[in-house]
Amino acid sequence: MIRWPDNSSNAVPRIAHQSFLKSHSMPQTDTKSPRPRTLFEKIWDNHVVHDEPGQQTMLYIDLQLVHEVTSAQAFEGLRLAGRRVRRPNLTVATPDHNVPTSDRGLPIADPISRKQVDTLRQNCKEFGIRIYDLGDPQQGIVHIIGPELGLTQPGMTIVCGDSHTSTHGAFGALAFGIGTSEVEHVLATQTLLQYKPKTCELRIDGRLPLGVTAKDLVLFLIGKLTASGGSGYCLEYTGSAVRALSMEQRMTVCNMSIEAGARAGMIAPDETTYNYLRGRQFAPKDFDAAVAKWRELPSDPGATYDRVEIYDAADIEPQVTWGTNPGQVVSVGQRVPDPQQFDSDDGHNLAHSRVHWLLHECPDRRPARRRGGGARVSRFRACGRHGGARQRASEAAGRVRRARPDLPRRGL
Amino acid sequence: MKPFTTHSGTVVAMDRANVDTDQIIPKQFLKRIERTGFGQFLFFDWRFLEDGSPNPEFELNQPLAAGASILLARRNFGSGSSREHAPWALDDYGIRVVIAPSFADIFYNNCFKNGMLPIVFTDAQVEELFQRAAKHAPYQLHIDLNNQTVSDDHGLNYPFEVQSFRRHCLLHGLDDIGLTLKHEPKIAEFEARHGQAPVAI
Ligand code: SF4
Repeated sequence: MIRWPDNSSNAVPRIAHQSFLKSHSMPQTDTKSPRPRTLFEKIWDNHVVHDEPGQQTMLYIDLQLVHEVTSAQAFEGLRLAGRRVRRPNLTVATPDHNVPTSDRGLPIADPISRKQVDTLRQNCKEFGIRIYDLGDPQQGIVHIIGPELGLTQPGMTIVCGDSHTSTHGAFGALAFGIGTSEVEHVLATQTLLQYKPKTCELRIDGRLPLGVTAKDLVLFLIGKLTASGGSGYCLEYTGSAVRALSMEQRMTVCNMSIEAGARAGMIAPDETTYNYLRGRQFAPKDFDAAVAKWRELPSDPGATYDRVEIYDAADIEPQVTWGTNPGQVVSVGQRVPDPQQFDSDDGHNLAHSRVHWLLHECPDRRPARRRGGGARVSRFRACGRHGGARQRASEAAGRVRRARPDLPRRGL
Repeated sequence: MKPFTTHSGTVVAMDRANVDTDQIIPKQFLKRIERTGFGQFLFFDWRFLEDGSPNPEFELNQPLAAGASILLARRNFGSGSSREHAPWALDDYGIRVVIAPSFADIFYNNCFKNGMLPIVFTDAQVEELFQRAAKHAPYQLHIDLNNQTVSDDHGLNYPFEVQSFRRHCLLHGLDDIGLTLKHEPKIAEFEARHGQAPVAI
């Protein structure tokens, strides 16, 4: 069994920022052609370990996030082959899927969930991986704690056995979900074999109208692209409407990239990003030097994308999904398609559809009513798996209750 | 991954087409956290009766198929979902070679990833093997991956095709990770140049 120096959750982390900054300030990209490159291309180029024509590229992975559902068989594969985790210090785990939302002092009731969480704990111990376990105040949804801890940083490659890993793209990182055998591959080699995706710029110029949130923005885009339209692309969200978003809003947008079929979505880092990261636990100690490097990441003027779509933010209204896939979305002012036109299965799902009001938003808005179904869609929900998120949700609900005493209290 | 060079074993003849992954390993067994131990559930719904006792009709339960390590089936073996549990279950049961006129793509790939050899023969050749399996039971086959031949003790000798890269990986027991680790010096060199992002330990 491998033991790391101090595995208590209060351990002061050892940080390799010196070598990180040194290496990242090396002019390794200058040797390449001066062709203007996109944010995606710069990160990709910076992480190519090995490349052969016609073959998948071997990409270096800066951070792997691990949770209990997709990792057990990967660790078992390592054990069966007598392999180790190549870079335990680039691997961070947290149980976040099958964990109780309350009474965390009690054993997990569902035996399979309990076994998965116990197995993760055991694997982390055996392979020397830092785990933010239940009871750790920093435990939470893996895509939220990465940013909150400052582990997620611009220019990094980040993977996790979870399709919503695209969330981290909000920081100008290349982040995507992988399958269990790939989890094992990254654990063992710290690299991943990937075909290079195409690039797609989604530019939203102008200002989002009052009451139109990041959730509306991304649902609008998914509606345009369709639920499979982003397939094969790495999306980059650009334009003044995107620049105006907070980090939380950017995470919402990037999180949903997968709903358009894209494995990754990203937003170039800027002052908003740096301000969010400054002072976080794992943010580089020489923060200004890091920022100076990060400033080189945004797409060069004249860089070209394989596909470009341009929208005017003023055209975007609050969005409501009505169907069984996130591409089935309309503006609140529009009608949902007539259920009669669907077969019984679709009609059934339509009746049960509801909006998962993405969190980390505090819209001060009129309660929207979904036409056709009549269901109230204005509600603040946070799944209770994430302490911080739950707290912010109830604060947001409190603010709305105070501002709009006329709204029904239930469901807020 | 264990290397595959030659293999001799008993054949179990499953005269069925379109054997899909949900029959190979029914979905109620997918919640396990291991990748081993699936062999006991292989072909569960066919292999066991309602009361849990072995179904005497099922091919794998025939006395002459005891200890079989070579599975003979009809076309489109391994169709259905992409679940890697199907080759895991066959492997765990002890199957090392599957012979059929055709395979589902993903299953075919997954066999190589798990150190098993899928062999494609023509319908006529597969038919011949079925007849011999019935006649000479318990029927033994000898597989030589190096020379790409399948032979029996009664004069049969069939050459088979396998993509050379896949053959190389099987012969040397190289899975994807093993292949990547052959580039270890490149990874180490990259790490020295790239440094490590500031992450916790
Ligand atoms: S409320 Fe929804 S978006 Fe927020 S953490 Fe929970 S699952 Fe994720």
